Order: sequence, then C-alpha cells, then structure tokens
Amino acid sequence: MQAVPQCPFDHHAITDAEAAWGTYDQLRDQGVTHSREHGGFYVLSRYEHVLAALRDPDTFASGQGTRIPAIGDGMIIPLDFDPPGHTAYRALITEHVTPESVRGMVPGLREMIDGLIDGFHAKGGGDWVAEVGLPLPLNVLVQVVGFAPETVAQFRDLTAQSWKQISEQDLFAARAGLFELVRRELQRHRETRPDDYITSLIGKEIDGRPITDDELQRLLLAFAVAGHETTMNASGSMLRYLVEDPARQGRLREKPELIPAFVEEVLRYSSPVQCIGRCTTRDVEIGGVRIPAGSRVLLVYAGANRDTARFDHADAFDVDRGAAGHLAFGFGRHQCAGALLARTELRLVLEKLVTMPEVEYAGAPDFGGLEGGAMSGPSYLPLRFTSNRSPDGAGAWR
Amino acid sequence: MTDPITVSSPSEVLELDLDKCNGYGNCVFAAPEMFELDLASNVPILLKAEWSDGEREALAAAVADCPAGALRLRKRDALG
Repeated sequence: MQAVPQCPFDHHAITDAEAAWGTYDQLRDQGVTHSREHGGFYVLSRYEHVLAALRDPDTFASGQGTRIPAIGDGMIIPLDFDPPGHTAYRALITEHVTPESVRGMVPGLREMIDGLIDGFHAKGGGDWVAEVGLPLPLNVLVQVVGFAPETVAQFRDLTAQSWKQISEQDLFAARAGLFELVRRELQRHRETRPDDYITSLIGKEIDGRPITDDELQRLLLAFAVAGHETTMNASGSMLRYLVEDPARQGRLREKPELIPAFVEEVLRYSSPVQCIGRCTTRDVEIGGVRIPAGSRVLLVYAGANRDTARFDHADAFDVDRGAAGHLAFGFGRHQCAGALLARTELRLVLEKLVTMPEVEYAGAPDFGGLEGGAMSGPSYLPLRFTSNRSPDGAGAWR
Repeated sequence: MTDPITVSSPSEVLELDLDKCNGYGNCVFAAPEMFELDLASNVPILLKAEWSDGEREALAAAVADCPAGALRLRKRDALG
C-alpha cells in the first residue's frame, strides 16, 4: 500500500472552467489523491476508479450527502439518500420519464423548442444561454412537471445564489429561497389540483404511509435545481462545439442520423456536472490507496470522461468515436433519472438547427467557472445566423 | 403491463422488463454482444436468444448496472 499523494485541489476554487481540464489531467496522472480542503477528501479522477466507485454504491454511499463540504440538512431526494429509502423515492421520478412517456412528450417538446429557436432566429441571434439555453429546461419544468411559469422564472437566480453560499453554509440555509418556492407550489397544487405530475405526487405513498411535505419539498427541489442548470449548460456547450468548427454543422446537415452521437460526445467532452461527492461506509482500497471508512470522496466525472486510458484522443471532440460509457450522467444506482429526457431535448435542438441557417459566434463567449464546485457550461454565448436562408428555403428572414 | 422478454441459457433465464426500462443504455455498454439500443424507442434490443459461459460475466454486469432494475438473471426452473 502506498502513501496517498496530497494535492491542493479545491473544486470550489475553479474560476476558469477552461483551465480546469489541465488540473484534471494532473489529478489523473497522480492516481488517487487526497486534498486537505473542506475538512479533507479523497479525489478519484481516472475513469477506472470513478466507475469502480459508482458500481459500488453501498461502499461509496450518498446518504451523508453528495456535496463536499457536507451539506447539513440540505439533502435532496433521491440524490442524497441510500436504499431502502432511495429505492421508493427514485421510483417516483423514473415512472414519469420512461422511454414510452418521454416519446409521448416529444411533440410538445418539439413545438416548444422549435418556437424558442425560431424566436432566436427572428431576432438575428443573441446570447444563446439567456435566449434559449435557460428558457428551454424551465419550459420543460412547466410542461412536464407542473411548476408555474412565475415559479421557474426564479429558479436560475436562486440556484446561482445558493451555489455561491454552499462552501460556507449549510445547503438547507443556502437553499431557503428555493424551499420557500416549492412550498408555495405544493400549496397551490393542493388547492387547485391541476392535472399534472406535482398533483399526482401529493397522494403518493412511501412504504405504505403517505409521503410527507418535507419529502415532497426535497423531491421538487431536485427538479428545481438538477432539472434546469444541467440542461442549460449542456445545450450551451453543444452550441459552442457546433460553432467552433463549421464542418460539424455541415456534417450534421448532411447526416442528421449523427445527431444522437453528437449529443453523446458533447456530454462526454463537456461533462456538465464535473464532479460529485460520496462518503465511504467501510475501509476500501482503490488504485493502491486505502481509503478509511467515513471518508469524503470526490468523483471527478470530467476527469474520467477525458481519460485517454478509456477514450482514445480523449481531449479531441470526435463525433465518430462512440462516446458510450461516458460518465456525464453518473452511472448505476444514482444515474441521472432525467437522462433520457435531457438527451431528447438536446437532440430536438439539433434536429431544429439543421433546418436553419448556420450559426456562428457574434462576439467573445464566456465559459465561466465551476458553479457550486461542479456545474460547468458557458455563461455567455453570443451567436448569430450566417445566412438569410429561411427554414423552408424560400424567402429571406432579414 | 407487458410480460418481461425472456431468453435462456441451459441453466439460467434473463428477463428484460420493458415496463421498468428507462432507456439508460447501460446494458449496451456492459454487454455489447447481447444488447443494442434502439434509437427510435430508446429501449434495448436483445441481440441473441442465448449466451455462452464467456458472455455471462458481461451479462451479469449489465444486470447489476441497470439503474432501473429492468434486467433480472434467474435460475431456470422446471418450467424453463
């Protein structure tokens, strides 16, 4: 057994998301490392190590929270729970986003996404993040979950504020504004009982007893936070990789059947959630390092997704590589429950864009830093359309 | 509710429950010899009606990796 190398890594200190890739390379080169920041935690960044941890969720558990530093009472459902509780919680979500139900959502999603992109085009472009990237998942939360438009309009600012506070205070306190919003949504659904997913949750049972208000709030908080920021970041990164090489747009136009592969490569290459935490329930050896029971462990998805031991020329964006097996959604028990919905939204964006004039940068983008020590995507992405072809090829838009 | 799709080796039965499947595609990743993802429906297609001893390890990984619990490997009973 070797001594664990110490590294000064602090995911909350990454202010330049572009520079983080070099940091992940260094972490991977060292194997399993340990940081003294935030009370001390181990760092796994090689694909092999991250996958091994995700495949052993009883040892690398979530019930002590999945953020480093710890989050106090700020646990959200089902992310920060282990079985048996986790199993019943997670089913509440997965039964709503089966392949069949997501297929049923496609016409409504397509209409909404086409409308956003048509509006963006009619304006001659603008900041993708503000004009399309953020409204898209917020609209999904209205259409698919049942939040009110005026509720989702507050999610972005409140989430961004909570991330700024997370390394200093209990996540429950940092998320007080969000908890208050979902409390009001539950109240509204109890009173007016609209025919939607949130209303359907109110009557649910967990292990033979009625679901509590506290559980409902923590579950809705997962939608409020995980349901908008991740997709916003993924679509921003997708547009970035689309405009950075015009040949990619040409190829997708000629072969729209490449769209699913393009989406997967965007997810691998950008890793919208760059890392997540676990806590060990027993002593465990990984990469020749013994990690004691009760240790915080950071799983660096972004490092794993660019590990050359798993992906050839991992630092290159390559639609033809076959990105299957990437860990952008995590893997196994806690794998993103909304993965299929997110993939579908991203595919619909590209299916629309290949019918439009090409897009290009209209100014300098800002790729931002890691929000909350995890979330990565462009914060500002000024784009415009290069030609004045109309979507149906007839007439001019401008 | 639909009945699980089943395929068998001489001693075991693999069940794929499409009511539970959430289209993650982990089975395709773990056992590419056995599964393919239908991109139109996002559900796995079983490529083979049986498997060899050499393929069993990958198959067991596919079962363990399924976040939806849609795959089950069980001993073959008297009725097959």
